[in-house]
Amino acid sequence: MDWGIPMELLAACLVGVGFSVLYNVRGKVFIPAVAGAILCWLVEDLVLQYGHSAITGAFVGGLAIAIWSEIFSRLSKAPVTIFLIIGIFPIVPGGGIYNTMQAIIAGDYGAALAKGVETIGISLGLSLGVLIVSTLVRLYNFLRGKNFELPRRI
Amino acid sequence: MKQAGFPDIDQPAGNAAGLEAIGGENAAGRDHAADPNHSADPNHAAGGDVNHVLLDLCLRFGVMMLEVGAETSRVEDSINRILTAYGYLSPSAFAIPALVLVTFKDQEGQIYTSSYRVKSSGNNLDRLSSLNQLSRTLCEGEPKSPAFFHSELERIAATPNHSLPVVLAASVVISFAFVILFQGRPEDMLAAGIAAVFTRYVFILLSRAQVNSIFTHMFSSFIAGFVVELLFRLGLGSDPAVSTISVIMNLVPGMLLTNGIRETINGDFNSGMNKMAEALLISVVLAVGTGAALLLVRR
Repeated sequence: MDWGIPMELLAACLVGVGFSVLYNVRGKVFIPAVAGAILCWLVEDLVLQYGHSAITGAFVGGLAIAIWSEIFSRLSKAPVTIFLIIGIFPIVPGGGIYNTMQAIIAGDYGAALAKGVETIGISLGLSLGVLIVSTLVRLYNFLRGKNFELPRRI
Repeated sequence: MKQAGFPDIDQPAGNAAGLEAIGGENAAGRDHAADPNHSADPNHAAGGDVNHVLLDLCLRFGVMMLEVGAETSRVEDSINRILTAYGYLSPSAFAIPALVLVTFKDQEGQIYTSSYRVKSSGNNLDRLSSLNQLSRTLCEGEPKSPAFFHSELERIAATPNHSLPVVLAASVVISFAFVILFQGRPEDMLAAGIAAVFTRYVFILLSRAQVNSIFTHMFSSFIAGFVVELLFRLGLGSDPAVSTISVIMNLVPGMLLTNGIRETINGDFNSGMNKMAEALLISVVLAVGTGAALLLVRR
């Protein structure tokens, strides 16, 4: 059953709100964290709509949420992880895990392998998206000389 | 089941126990105010050994950070910054998911070191944010008094958590939302909502009992699959797969995955692999749990 884009956006918002409660996100970071979840899902969905694979979708979604998190971490002076953790939930491959298991139980190992590889691929794509952005941010901080240096005396 | 002081949702019992063990010295110090051996209490250390007080406070700060789900590099970095702000030489903090180790030298070259074995990790991002803010405050301007540091830690440790009904409601909302995202029907929503309540409740009970996280996730996902399949047999729901996945999304290890990635980027391969392996294992046992339920009900 197709619920339409507005309902799905609301659902992505509710995912963000729900996990914000489970992970005790409150105060000034709440709204950007929930908005990150919506953005992440929207970007992934757009990529899928244009006919790309689920892995590409997860990769671009990971890029989007990582950029969003870095921006709002700077603005609200809160750890990046808060926005990242809440944001990636709408595209974490929970369905892939289940479908792989179902195929194994049905004895269809070919399908199980395909689903399993796709699930791992989605996780890796998501990770790669986050990884690239974080690395670039570290590089940028290094070039600006903003990395914390310990006083070197032993 | 008492709801007051409901601890963290993820592996909560160990969290509270860990903080108490660290704060135990402090509690004892307050009870026997005349005892000078309890250096951990800053009120009695004004003229005495401020170094030991700060050592203990920094260790406690690190353990709290680790237990609410901070990356290890953030823990190390924060402690090093705080100790540098207090003017100590060669501060060296080390953290892995199971341990925090703090070492520094005072002006005379005397070495102070202390460590604490951490048994659990939770997911209280509000506390993580407060601790991060505290570390910023401590590093700005003049060095703050250890008493201020101590009272801030106490305040953060005492911040309330969501009560059980709120947590259950959040789980239901999440499963509703995923039914929509996975294009299920309204009756699937109802099935997923009912299953989510049972699943979250079992998950909280097992987490409190400090059963290991692998078994906790496996049994919770078994309950999810079992309740959904049972409701489907009773005539509720059109597609048990959609409902089950929507409930399982509650338990997916998103935090471990995110932190695992970030640890790896930071070059902390030890912690990174640790967390990634746990995330992978949890994903596998989520499948095993629902699979067991499927086999049990459908045969």
